Amino acid sequence: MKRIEMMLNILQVLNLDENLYNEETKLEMIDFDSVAKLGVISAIDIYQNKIIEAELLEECLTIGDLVDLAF
Amino acid sequence: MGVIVRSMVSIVPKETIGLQEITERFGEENAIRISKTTGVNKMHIANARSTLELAYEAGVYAIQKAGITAQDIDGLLMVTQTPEYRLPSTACILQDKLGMGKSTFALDIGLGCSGFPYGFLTAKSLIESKILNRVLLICGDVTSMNAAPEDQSTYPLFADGFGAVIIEECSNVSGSMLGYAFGTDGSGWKNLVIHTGLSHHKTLESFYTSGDNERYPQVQYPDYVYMDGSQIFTFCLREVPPMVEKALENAKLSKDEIDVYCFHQANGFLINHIRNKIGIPKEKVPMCMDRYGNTSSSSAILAACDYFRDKPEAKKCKIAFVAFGVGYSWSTVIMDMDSSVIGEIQEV
Repeated sequence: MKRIEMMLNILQVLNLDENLYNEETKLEMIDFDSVAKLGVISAIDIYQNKIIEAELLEECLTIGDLVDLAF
Repeated sequence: MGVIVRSMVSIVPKETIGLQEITERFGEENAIRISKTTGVNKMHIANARSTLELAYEAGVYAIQKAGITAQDIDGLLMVTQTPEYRLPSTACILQDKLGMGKSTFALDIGLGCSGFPYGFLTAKSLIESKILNRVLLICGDVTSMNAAPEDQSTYPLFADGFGAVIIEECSNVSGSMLGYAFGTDGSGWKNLVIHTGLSHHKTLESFYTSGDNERYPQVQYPDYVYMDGSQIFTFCLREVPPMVEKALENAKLSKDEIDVYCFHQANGFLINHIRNKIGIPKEKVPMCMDRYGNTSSSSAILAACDYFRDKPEAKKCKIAFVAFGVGYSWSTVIMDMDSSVIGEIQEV
């Protein structure tokens, strides 16, 4: 899967407004709560067949950092 | 020699809380979001009623459903993490309350969500080794008492329910159990834990004076259950699908040969994800947590009782009971059962 496709999948899970569709969007600007975290873990597992460790999410600052976890 | 299930029942307390109470406590937007993720719309809550009282009701129901008396049972296993007292064990008090004989083998098993398959395997081993003839296995918790009313991750999820199963010997070698798998990873203990109340921290004060409040800053309510949902989710994705495959391999069955998968009702989002990952059709995975919440060790039994409620015609079914959670601990048993032994959920 291409990086852009993975980003779109994650953005879809996060249910963001289109003006936040950007790798540079900071997670502190969005509602990145426990439900959103489950969604990201789930999306990466579904699309990349990769189970990421939950603590790695805590180190992410931007949408781009989340996409990085998938690769 | 093998073992068969003579009866399988569940009970829940009558009192309920629903979305209205969750909305009042956490606000409408949060309530909708929580319900959408957990899949819970209503839960049964014990309130002033205790583990002993509800376990007793479940035990009586299982004995009646089996058409026997308490004196006909020589083993009592109580799977719970909310025992009636710190001591004695709840199983000992239940032996007397249920009217079982003094030669009863009575034992508490301190497991949560994964407890039913573990209890079943323990009962099976005791029967097959000819130590016991017939076991009453009761699984259940008053988990609602462990959830801090202010905690959005646990209060709208954890509910109360009890399952009871009577297991006895049969002449058939394979009996009703076709396969199993289990596992433990205690390194995950801190992601689903109550810090206080027993040996480690007898009091809340001890938690703070020991410095554990600084070691575990994420724990806001140390005398209630703390759950890191993301960590639990990752653990389940990692361990549950391979466990199911291992149990199927042990049973020499393909996943399509199983009629029903009764999953621990942990969280709707999680169960759906795991179901998709394993490749099980939706109709084979009953969900009842919309009405009963997460009831810990009884939830897979509740799922079976709920599923067969509107299927009164008796038939042989291959049922996989898949359980996982606190510990971390996980377990599966695959059974060949006559559905007529499964009773509907009673409100008591």
